[in-house]
Amino acid sequence: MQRHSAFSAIRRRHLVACVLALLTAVVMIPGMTTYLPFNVSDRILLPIMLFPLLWLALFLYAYLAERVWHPTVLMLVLMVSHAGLCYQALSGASA
Amino acid sequence: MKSVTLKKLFTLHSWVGILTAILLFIIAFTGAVAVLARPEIKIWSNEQLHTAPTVDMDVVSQLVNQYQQQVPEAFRDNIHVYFPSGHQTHLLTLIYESHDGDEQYDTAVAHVYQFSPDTYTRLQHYYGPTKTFYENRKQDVGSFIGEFHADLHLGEPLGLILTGVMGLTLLVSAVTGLVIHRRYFRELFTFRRKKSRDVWVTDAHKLVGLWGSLFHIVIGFTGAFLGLATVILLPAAAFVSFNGDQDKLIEAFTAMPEPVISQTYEPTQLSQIVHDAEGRYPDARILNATLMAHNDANAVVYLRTQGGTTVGSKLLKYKGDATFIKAMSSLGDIPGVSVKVLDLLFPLHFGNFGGIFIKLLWVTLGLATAVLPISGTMMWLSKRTRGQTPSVSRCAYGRWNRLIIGTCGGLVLACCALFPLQIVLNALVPPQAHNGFIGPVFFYGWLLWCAVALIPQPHRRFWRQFCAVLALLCLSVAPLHIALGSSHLLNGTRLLVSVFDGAFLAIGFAVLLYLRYNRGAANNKEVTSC
Repeated sequence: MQRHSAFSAIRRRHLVACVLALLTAVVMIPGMTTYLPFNVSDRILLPIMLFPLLWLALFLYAYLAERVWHPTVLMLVLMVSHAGLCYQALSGASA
Repeated sequence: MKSVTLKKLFTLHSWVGILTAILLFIIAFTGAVAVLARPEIKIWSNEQLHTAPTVDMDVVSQLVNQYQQQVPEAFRDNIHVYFPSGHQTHLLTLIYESHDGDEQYDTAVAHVYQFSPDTYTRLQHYYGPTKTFYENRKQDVGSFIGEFHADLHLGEPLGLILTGVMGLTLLVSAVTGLVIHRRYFRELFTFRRKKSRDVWVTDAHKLVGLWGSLFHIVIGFTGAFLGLATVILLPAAAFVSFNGDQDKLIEAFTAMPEPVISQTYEPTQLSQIVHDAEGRYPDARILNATLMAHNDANAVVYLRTQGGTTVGSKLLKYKGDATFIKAMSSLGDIPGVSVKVLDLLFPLHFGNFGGIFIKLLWVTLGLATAVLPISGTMMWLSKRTRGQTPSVSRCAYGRWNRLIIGTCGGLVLACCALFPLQIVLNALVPPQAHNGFIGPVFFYGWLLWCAVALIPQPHRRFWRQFCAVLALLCLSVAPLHIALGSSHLLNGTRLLVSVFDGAFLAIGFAVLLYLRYNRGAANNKEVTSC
C-alpha cells in the first residue's frame, strides 16, 4: 500500500478506520438507547443489531473519504455526543 | 462509480482479505463443520444416542421427585431437566441449582445427576459451581469443534470479541468484493476451467464470492452480532438504558422470572406437561425443561423446543398442574420487533431452520467462505510473482504456500483426526477421561503440522503430503468403526452413522484419486525448496 497508494494520509486512515470507527460504533450503541423512541427492549436491541452496519459504514468512510479529517471529525462528533448522552443518563440516575 | 473509489475498494478488499485470511479460514472452516455438530456429529460421537432414546416421562418425573428429596432445601426450587439428545447432552441430566450459592459457595451452585438414557441407572453425581459443571462437561468431536468455532477456546471475552471482529472483516470483504466484482454478475456462469491454474483460481474466487455473497454478508453480520453483542454491546446498552440499575436490567431480560413460592404442596405434572407439548407441537423436539417452585401450588414449568413450524427455538410456559400458559420466543416474553428479528439471527447463522438440506447448503457455503480468503491471498501472491520485476520471489511464494498449508491444512487435519480418535476413545477410554484427549490431540496435531511447514521443501510436495494424511485419516474412520463400534457402515443399525462413515470413505477415496490424477502434473512442474 506504500507504493502508488490509492489513499492519502494512510497511517491516519488506518488509525481512524481501525480504532476510531470501532470506538465510535461501540459508544454509539449505548448512546442511542437514550433517544430512540421505542419500547425498552427495542431501544436496547435495535442499536445492537445495527452495530455491524454502523461500523461497516464508518470503516468504509474512513478509507473512501477524500480528506482524512472528514471522517475523523464526523466520528469524534458522534462519539463525544453519544458519550455525553450516556453520561447524562447515568448521572441523571445518581442525582 | 469513480475509478479512484473502485481502486480504493479493491485495495481495501485485498488488504483486509490478506490480513485476515488464515484466521477467517480457521473460523469459517470450523463453522462449516459446526453446522452439523448438533445433533448429527454429536449423535455419531455418542453410542448411547445411536439407538435414538425416547425417555419415559413417568420415570423422569419419578427421578426428579426422588432426587429433590435428597438435595438440600436451597436446591429444590430451580430444577433443569436435559433430555438425552444430540443437541445438549447425551445423558439424561437433572440439575438442582441454587442461584445464590450455599454455605460452601458464594456463586450459583448445583447438584447434578446424570443417568443412562436406556436403563436410567445413575452414572454420575456432581456438586459444585454451576459454571464449572458446564465448562467441564464431557466433550465429543461435535461439541469441541462447535465451541472452538465460537471462541477459539480462548474463552470470554477475548475469544468472542476475536470471532466478532472477524465477522466484521468478513462483512467488509463481502461488501467490497461485491462492488468491485459487480460486472461479473453478467458472467455468473463463466468458468475458464481449461485455462491456466491462475485463471481458473481467479474465476473460481470471483464466482464463489458472487454466488455466495448474500450468505457471506449474513454470516458476517450475524457472526459479528453473536461475538460482540453479549460481551460488550448488550451490557453497555442495557447499563445506560437502565441508568446503571443491574437488578432492573436482569429483571427485564430474564426469560424465566422466578415465581413466588406459596409453600402449599401441589405435585408438578411434568409428564402431562411434556405430553401436552408434544400434542401441541408434534414436529418440534423438546430439548429441556426448567421447573420452578417444583411441587408448589405456584410452580411454573418452561419447555424449550426446537423445530416444527417456527424458524427459531421456542419456550413453552406451563403451570405446575399442566395448564398451558403461552408459547414465546426462546429469549423470553420480551415485547417488540427486535426480539423477533433476533430470533431469526441465530438460525440464520447456524443453518438449523430447514432440515438437513439447508444444513448441507450451509456447510457447502461455509466451506466456500473458508476457501475465499485463501484463494484471494493466492491470487494476490501469484500476481506479484509474475512480470519482469516481481515483488515476491519464487522462494517467498513457496514459503507463503507452506505457511497456508501448514496453518489452514493443519486445522483441517486436526479436525479430521478427532473422528477416528472419538471411535478409539469410545471403545477404550472411560467417558469422563475423554476431555483429556480431544483438546491435546487437536492442538498438538495442528501444531505438529505447522512445524512440518517449517521444513524447507517444495510447497507442491507439502500439499501432496497434506492430501495423503487427509486421505489416511478419512479412510480410517469406517474400518475403525467396524472394528470397535457397535453400529457401523456394514450393519447399518443407525443410518446417520453409516452416512457419516460412508462420507469419510468417499472423501478419502476422492483425495486419493486427486493425488493419483495430479501425480504426473506435479512431477512436470519446477520444484524448488527454500
